[in-house]
Amino acid sequence: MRQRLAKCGFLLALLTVIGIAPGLAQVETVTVAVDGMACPFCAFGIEKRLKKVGGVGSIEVDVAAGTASMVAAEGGSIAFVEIPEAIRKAGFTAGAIHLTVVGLLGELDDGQPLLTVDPSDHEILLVNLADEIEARIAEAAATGLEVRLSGLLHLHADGPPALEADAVEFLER
Amino acid sequence: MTLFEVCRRLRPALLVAAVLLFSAAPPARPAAITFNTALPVTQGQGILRVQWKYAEFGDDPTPLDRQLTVQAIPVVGVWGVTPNLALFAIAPLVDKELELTTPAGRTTRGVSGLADLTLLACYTAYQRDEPGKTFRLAPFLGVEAPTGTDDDQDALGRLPQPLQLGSGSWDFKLGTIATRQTLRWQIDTSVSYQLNTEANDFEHGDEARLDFSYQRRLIPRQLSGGVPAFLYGVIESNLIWQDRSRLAGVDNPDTGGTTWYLAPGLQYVRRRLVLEGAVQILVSKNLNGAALENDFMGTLSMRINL
Repeated sequence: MRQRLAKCGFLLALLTVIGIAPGLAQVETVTVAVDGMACPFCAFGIEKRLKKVGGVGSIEVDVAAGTASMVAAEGGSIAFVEIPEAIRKAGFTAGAIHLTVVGLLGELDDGQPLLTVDPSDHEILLVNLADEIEARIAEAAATGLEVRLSGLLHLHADGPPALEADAVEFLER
Repeated sequence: MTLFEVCRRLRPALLVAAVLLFSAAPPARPAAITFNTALPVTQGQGILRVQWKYAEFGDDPTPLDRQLTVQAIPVVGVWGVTPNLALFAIAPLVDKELELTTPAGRTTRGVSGLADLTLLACYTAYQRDEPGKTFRLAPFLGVEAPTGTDDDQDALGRLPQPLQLGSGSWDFKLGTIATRQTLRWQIDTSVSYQLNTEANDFEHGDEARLDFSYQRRLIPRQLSGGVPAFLYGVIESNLIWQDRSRLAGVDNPDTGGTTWYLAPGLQYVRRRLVLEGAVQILVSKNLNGAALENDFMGTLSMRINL
């Protein structure tokens, strides 16, 4: 038993060192525009549907702004790809999705920067970046640093999601 | 005047009451009070609505001095099958009471219990969503099953068919609703037709309706964050045409006609609850034959998101 615990401890330490510590890399918050929502009674159905989205801890609907904001459950990661379908099942149309995500920087063979989000292993392309952010990310991408990014998400049926990051924070380990 | 004639002359009032109390498919979403809406019901979600409707008919010019009181508690269950398809089940508890003066003195005839069950399917065929506003178009189709008793009797014999709880017939309804909703106001417009069939040698006249509702948010005047409760002021219009009823295959000349009601009301809307009330006021009528005046018609309603 002691040997097994020691192995687990070593494995956890290794995961932390290589930057895929569970609970760090995740989709932390998502705010989605809910087009068509115009009264309080409608908000309930939207909340109910969004609660079923994986990793969602709490939800706050803002009727005036026409948005629903989600915060990840502790240690969880919001399954953002499920959100448009959840809004559709509530009878409305999902608009723009803004999210804050922690992940590992990387790049494709052609140099396209991307973010890997664990535990779902989503790969999010980083696109249309402001010059300053693009420079910082390009510098860090090759090293596999962990970052927190915020921005507008684009979902594509036939490809990976893309994030227009407008804020970046390099995380210390 | 014979009892048969009394009942025959009473029929228009009962039909008007029935039309107003039951045939308007009760809405389940934030909506018009006296008819339906095209707003969505979330897939896999239920809504319960309980209404209390009260109507009095009187001002009888004849020595019979007839007074008719109809109360109904339609219990409505709604289920979102898909984002576009909602199913409604409407079970009305009804109390009908007719007071009249006969040679034997003042008499009351009436009946209480569960009336005919209505099943309705509403499908959102067109939807255009924008930030803070939506437009929907939803046709609906329904059937009223003869689940209410249609052979109740009292000391004077079998109650006339319009006083029975159930029609005894399978009746069908179809129509369409258009809804435009913004954060500030909402408009619902509905056109519908109810096809009534024959049972017990009696056939209620078919019915066509044109309904309109305007709801305007009164409180809060300015929206802040979150999901605040809304108080709407409501004005609704119900234009109803009813064909003559047929008894033993013959048109009854004292039935059918056209009525137009306006219904001011208030609606209080929260995330899980809607409380609302409206009073239907007769604006004009063009009824066939003799009919009682509609003195008062009121609706109180509660809706709960389950």
